Amino acid sequence: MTAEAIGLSKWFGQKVALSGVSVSFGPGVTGLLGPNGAGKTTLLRVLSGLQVPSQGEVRLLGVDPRRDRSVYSTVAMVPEDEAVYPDLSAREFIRLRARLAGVEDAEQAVSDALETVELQGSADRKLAGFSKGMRQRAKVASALVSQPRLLLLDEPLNGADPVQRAQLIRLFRALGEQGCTVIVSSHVLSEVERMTRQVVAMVDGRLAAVGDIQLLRSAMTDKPRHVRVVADRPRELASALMHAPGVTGVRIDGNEIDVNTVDPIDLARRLPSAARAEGVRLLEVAPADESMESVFRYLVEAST
Amino acid sequence: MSLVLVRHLVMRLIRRKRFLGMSALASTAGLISWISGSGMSGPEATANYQVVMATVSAATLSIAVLFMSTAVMRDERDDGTLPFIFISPMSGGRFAVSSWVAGAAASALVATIGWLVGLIGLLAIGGEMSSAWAVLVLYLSAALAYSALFVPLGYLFSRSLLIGLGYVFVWEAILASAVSGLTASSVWRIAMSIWADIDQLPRDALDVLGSVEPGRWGGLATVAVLIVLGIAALAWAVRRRDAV
Repeated sequence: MTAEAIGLSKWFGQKVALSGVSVSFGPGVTGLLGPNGAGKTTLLRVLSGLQVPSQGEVRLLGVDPRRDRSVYSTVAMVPEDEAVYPDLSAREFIRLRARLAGVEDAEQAVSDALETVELQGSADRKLAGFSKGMRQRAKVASALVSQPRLLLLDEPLNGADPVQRAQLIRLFRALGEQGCTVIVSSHVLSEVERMTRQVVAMVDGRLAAVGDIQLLRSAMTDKPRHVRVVADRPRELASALMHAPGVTGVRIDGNEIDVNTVDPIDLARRLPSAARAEGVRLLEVAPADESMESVFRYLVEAST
Repeated sequence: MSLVLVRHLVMRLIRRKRFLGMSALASTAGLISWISGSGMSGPEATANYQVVMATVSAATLSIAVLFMSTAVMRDERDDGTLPFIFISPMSGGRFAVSSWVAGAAASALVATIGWLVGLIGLLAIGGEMSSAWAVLVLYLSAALAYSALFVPLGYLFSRSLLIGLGYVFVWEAILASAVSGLTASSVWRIAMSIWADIDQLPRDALDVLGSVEPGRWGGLATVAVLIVLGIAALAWAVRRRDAV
């Protein structure tokens, strides 16, 4: 394993940010999921050695980074903060990182990193004038310049426009396929889903789930799903659906009905006939939670 | 030591407006001695210069070095850029040495600017050049010693400025003056002990020393010990304390 957290706890005064987290990360992309305050950033900071665990151990490529900092030649991190050095150009910033990391042919490595994130055209502009998305790409380039085996990315897509996001997602996937261990924290779940199926979900500083998103979803088949139904006469349709098998709840909001069901397939089968029987016109039927968001929400609810 | 890191940290410190402000603060003693020494004879002007350097600089130079040295790590932390330099394959000791060298270099630059203003003033009113050289030794040794104290402070505490001001105004200015047993713990007096051994100082300037005896080698050795302890404290903190 490239990175291991062993019984990791971290607290700040009375606040527990991490509690007994044990998890391993191997080559490929792993999504680190959780709501705000779940402990994702703290986990990445403790894993990277930026913060000292209150309890437990961290192993990066077999060593504790606080004790053996030479491991940082193969580790890189993109912190969450938007911060960069505003007085430096992108090239100077990446060159600084290359030289600090002891990269041999620093100039070539800087050019390669700039090319990878498609910032060659703006390489000599000051970072102060960069958009948020460009800063993110500069930070990613500064992390890639040392060709790390372990890449820790804390919300790396923040501020990037859709095209830039797609580019970065492709880049992270490619790095994972090349054998780099990439840990990506994000609250934009659909983006994580585009990067990887492998996820670590955190809630309140604890691990909520680890594994393939498909396995997580199948593990919650007994959980109710939400289906959003838009109809011209929602009250009539809602009362008809309330007695349908598998439906555990119905909520009306304007002309929308939020149907809670443990059997969405059966609901899909019954819905047209129920609408026909009541003389209701269906305007829209869509799963309200048919994404990683639903997995995540259920995990959060299950653990609270 | 990493020259890449030192250069980066020093450039960062001197690009900020703080550098100009602290250079101005470090220059106030020189300006005061220039203005107050106008119209005095050469020896009188030199003595006045020495007294002002011993008293006014005790506050102005120490504060200027406090602001510059604590900023080495605090700026990186406050700006969220510390991870970019912290996650690099250099030992904690090397990181600490580089940080101190950067803080000391920026502080020494501020001290030298302050000294230059004093030098110009001294020459303008007909004072002795040899006294100015001795004051440069005072300024530089104080800058190096204070930075050994304040660079780790900037890494360890978010309220490092407040703690540093407490040291300068409460510990050095009040406690170390009032309690003879504490006089030797004053960084300013340690630096002054070197100065007092290489130059002839008037009584008013020597009074600042209190119970500390003049002695260049003892003073230099103490400064060296302070630097080693400061670097060791920072290296310990890099390993044991949160960086962000």
